[in-house]
Amino acid sequence: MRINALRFFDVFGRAGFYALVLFFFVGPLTWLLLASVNAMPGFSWAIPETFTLENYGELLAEPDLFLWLGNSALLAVGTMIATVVLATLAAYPLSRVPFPGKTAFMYILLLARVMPITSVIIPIFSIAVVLGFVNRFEGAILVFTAMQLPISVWIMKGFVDSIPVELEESAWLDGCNRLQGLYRIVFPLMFPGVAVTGLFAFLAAWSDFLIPLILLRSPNTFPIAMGLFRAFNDLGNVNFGFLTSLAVVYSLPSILLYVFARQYLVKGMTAGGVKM
Amino acid sequence: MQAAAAPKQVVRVFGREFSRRRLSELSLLLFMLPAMLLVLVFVFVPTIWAIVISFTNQSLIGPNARNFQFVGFDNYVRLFADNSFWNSLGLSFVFVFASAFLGQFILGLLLAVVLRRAHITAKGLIGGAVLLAWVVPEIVAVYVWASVFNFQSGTANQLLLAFGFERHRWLIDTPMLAIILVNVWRGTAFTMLLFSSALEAIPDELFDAAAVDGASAWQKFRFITVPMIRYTILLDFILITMGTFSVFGLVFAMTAGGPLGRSEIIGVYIYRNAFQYREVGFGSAASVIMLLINLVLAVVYLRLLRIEQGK
Repeated sequence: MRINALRFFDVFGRAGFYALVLFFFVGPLTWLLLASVNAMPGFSWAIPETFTLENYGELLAEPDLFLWLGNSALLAVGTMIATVVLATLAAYPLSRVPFPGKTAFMYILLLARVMPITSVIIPIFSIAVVLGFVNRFEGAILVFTAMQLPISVWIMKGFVDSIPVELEESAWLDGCNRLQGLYRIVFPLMFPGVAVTGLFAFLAAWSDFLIPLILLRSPNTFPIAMGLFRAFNDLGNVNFGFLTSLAVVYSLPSILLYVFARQYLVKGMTAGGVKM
Repeated sequence: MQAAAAPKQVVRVFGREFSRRRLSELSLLLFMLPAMLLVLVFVFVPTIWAIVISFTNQSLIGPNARNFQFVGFDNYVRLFADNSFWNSLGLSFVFVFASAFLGQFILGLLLAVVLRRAHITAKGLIGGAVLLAWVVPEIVAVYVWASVFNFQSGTANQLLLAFGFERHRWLIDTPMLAIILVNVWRGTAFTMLLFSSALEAIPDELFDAAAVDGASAWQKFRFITVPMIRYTILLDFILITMGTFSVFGLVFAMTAGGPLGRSEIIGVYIYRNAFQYREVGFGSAASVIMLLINLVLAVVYLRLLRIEQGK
């Protein structure tokens, strides 16, 4: 009797818990998806009476879409390339060359990772003004890259550490210099590290809101995040079809890339030499 | 091979002797320069800059933007006399405690424990659902939850009505509850992933042996799981605390700190003073307080890492 009751709670308690979790985490997103294919979209959660793809059609006809999409892509790809190249270059000597104070150096780098960006955003704006980076993509890309580098260098160093130096030595004997050895031998072997740091960098720049808010002030330079923010705050004139379909299009790359990178997530999150 | 067999060539630099090989090795450190320069310019310099500016009357635009003066501790005196600063600091602590500890930590740990032995389909489905909320861009999350909390026809109020309650003004009467819920929604995946991988490292035999001895689920959790993941618990706690302190976009876009500052966490307070009231010096003083709080947390974090690496 007692066993049966326990079993009952185990099975149904579990099912109830799953249902609640699904409801809380997926429920709000289903509104977005449903509204985006609804002919009469609004704030309420509803199965559309008439399904339509017209919202997406309207979105495609919107000239701002391609401007914002292009700006976001430029920021994300630029940040990804800069982060991968600079992090690889920095990680290589950190892994291969012994020098005094290296451990301290790595920890100071980690300190940069945990600096809350809101607390340094004022000086970042001032520095951007001094360097002429306001309303320029280079500026935003460099700031994003600087934010990504500390953790990326940590991840990359771990990967270089795992590649035996003997592999490179044979390349040196064949006449490669260190840089050639790095990009012909080491770089391809540490592809998982390149993938995960590149992905994190891409997504950080793709999703960020604060840096564009501060640095990209001209509508010509708005990424999608700013476009959505402005359009949504345009009270009394919210075009649900446009906004929901744009939000879906904006979220898709993030979701797809995470699905692809799910296996690397934990490694990237906990880099910092944490042994589990 | 060749290099090792060759006679050691020695070069003197700054009065110290280096072998040529060591020197060429050291020259590799130049590869680090671009990355270090960027981190220096956009992370470390701003930190120092914030501290320096917090002692001036610099403004965002106007005559005081360039010709600012040092005003000693004036900004701090004003800051500590400003009720809305204490309000924002207090709200930040509430936000961190409720959304990081009560929300993300407990829910994330619970999910990791429950999913550990769940069926593979449940693992993929439930884990994926939690992850989905984490990966959508911040502004999309705001937008989605704005629909949930909408007064007239939002899902939250539809549910209240369906269960026979009155409509609730979520963003006006309980703005903190609203932003805490959204932050739990967004942040739980991080904790769940961290603990999932920590739990995988615990051998099943431990639980089986405990089951043979008649241990309850709670006893297994308390005497096997917790001791095994003690370190991960601390690590997660510090990382999500720091992460939650620096949340900005979510709150700014959702409530803008309102109504009347009732959801104005410290990041929004800094933004309002520096970029809306254009008082860069004063805003920086608040930044410095935020930096100090995070520095204490960061030092604990680094110590933990060192202890763990030393093992």
